[in-house]
Amino acid sequence: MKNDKLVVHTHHISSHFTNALWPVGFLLLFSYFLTGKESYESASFYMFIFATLATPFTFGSGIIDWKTKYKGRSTRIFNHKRIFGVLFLLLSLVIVVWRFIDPSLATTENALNSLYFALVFINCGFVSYLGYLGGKFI
Amino acid sequence: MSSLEQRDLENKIEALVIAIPKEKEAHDFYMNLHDEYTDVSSKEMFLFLADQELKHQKRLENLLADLEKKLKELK
Repeated sequence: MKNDKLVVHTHHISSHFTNALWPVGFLLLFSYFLTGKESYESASFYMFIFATLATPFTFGSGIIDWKTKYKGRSTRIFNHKRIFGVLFLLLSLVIVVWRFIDPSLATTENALNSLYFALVFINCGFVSYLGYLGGKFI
Repeated sequence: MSSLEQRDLENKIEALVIAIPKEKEAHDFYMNLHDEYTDVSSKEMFLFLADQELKHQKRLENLLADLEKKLKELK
């Protein structure tokens, strides 16, 4: 397999990883709020960790793909992919690090708990939009 | 130029930027099949199809160059 094709495949594989794990993590967190079972909350945190770990591969391979396959042309779709990719990565890091520092963050009822849930929801929006943009290339 | 016209040109350019690599991929796909087959009629067919994709790619590249030139002139 040629190197450029390998990079394209890396982007496809890793982006599916991120696009699947984050919304599933969100659904698990939502399940925790509905049922109160802490195992759902723990599972959501692990989903967020793996989604965040996959993101640099998604972003990096996407940049290489854009520079090689699309000659680095600056159009609206590529600009949005870059901007929302950075926003997703930064917010993912904030969420994962915050939850790592404060393990009871989601399970303690206060304003921070709601903020955490809101950030997870916003990031779900970012990753869904990125998936929507990615779908335009298929 | 109105912003609507500019946006229209940019949308067309974006469509071509996305479409051109698809033509190249289709060309490579047919060429791989051409290399895999040993009988003459199959080889000819895949070579013909690969050539068609290459022509599409060149046509789209020319259209893209024209649109980019137009956008640059009107900006």
